[in-house]
Amino acid sequence: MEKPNNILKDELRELAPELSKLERKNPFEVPPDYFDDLSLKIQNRISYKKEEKHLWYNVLFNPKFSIAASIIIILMVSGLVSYKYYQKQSANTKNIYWDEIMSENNSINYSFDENSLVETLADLTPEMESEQIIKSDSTLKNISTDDLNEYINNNNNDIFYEN
Amino acid sequence: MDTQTDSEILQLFRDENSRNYGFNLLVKKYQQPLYFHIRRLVIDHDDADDLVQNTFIKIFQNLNGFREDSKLYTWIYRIATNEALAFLKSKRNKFFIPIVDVESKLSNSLIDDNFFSGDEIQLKLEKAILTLPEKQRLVFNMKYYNEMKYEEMAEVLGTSVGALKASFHIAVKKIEEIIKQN
Repeated sequence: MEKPNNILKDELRELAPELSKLERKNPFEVPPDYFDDLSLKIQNRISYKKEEKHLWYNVLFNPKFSIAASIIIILMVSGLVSYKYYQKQSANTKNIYWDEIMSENNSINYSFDENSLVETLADLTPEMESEQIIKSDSTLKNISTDDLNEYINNNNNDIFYEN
Repeated sequence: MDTQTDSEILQLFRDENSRNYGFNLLVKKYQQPLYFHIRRLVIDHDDADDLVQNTFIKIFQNLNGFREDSKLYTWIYRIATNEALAFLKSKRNKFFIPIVDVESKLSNSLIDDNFFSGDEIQLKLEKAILTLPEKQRLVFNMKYYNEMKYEEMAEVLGTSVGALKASFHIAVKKIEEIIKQN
């Protein structure tokens, strides 16, 4: 280290005469025995850091920890992959445009036949049920099945909406 | 113990069997100059204590990789300076304090500092030094208290000798003005 010399004093005398008159001494102090203990404190911190490093090493390369960490990583990766897959699926569904749906519905509407619908509904109505209604109502007992079918055929729209 | 040269200490450190002994010699040799170098920058003893310990830990961790392109002495000072400057920067960022306010806070803390033994004139001088911008303060301390050569300071701070001379001259002039005013 550079030893004190007179070069600085001369330089200061020229540059700053007032400053050069001041006594140059260190005004800062330390607690008693501070420098005697400092070396030991530093050595302790270094050995603690070494132990800490060893501790991490032991944890990271412990077989149980490695297995558990591997399982977690596998689960996370598979979860991420399936999430991405479902995201892709839902994105494909969104690509079906509303216009296409409407045009499909329109074609259905154009080919819709009311008579075939009534016939289908008539076929679906259980015969037993209509016969039971006729039997239970005394006013209907005298009406034959043929009369009833004829009445239904003539007034099928009203009956359809009332039902 | 200070009779050991830096290259002897390095040799001892590089040998696994004498590493701790070599490092202990290095700490004993440099602890005081490094502590006071840091203390003049951060003012508070506790902060300086932490920083000097961190500096020696970094030296221990990196000394094997020291390639002797520069002097060990300047390399050690560079680590200490960087530690102190990083600490001041983090202090500013942590409390969102402007540069000037950090220096004024440090200046006020001098009065209450139990480990400041200077008289009134020295207190005035230290306060004047704290009014300087960080770089000028650093250069002034290294030259005025450590009497470091400009070439060595250039190695520590990574600046040209010309720029350092200019910084020192400006700093000295500013301090002279403050002393004259008082």
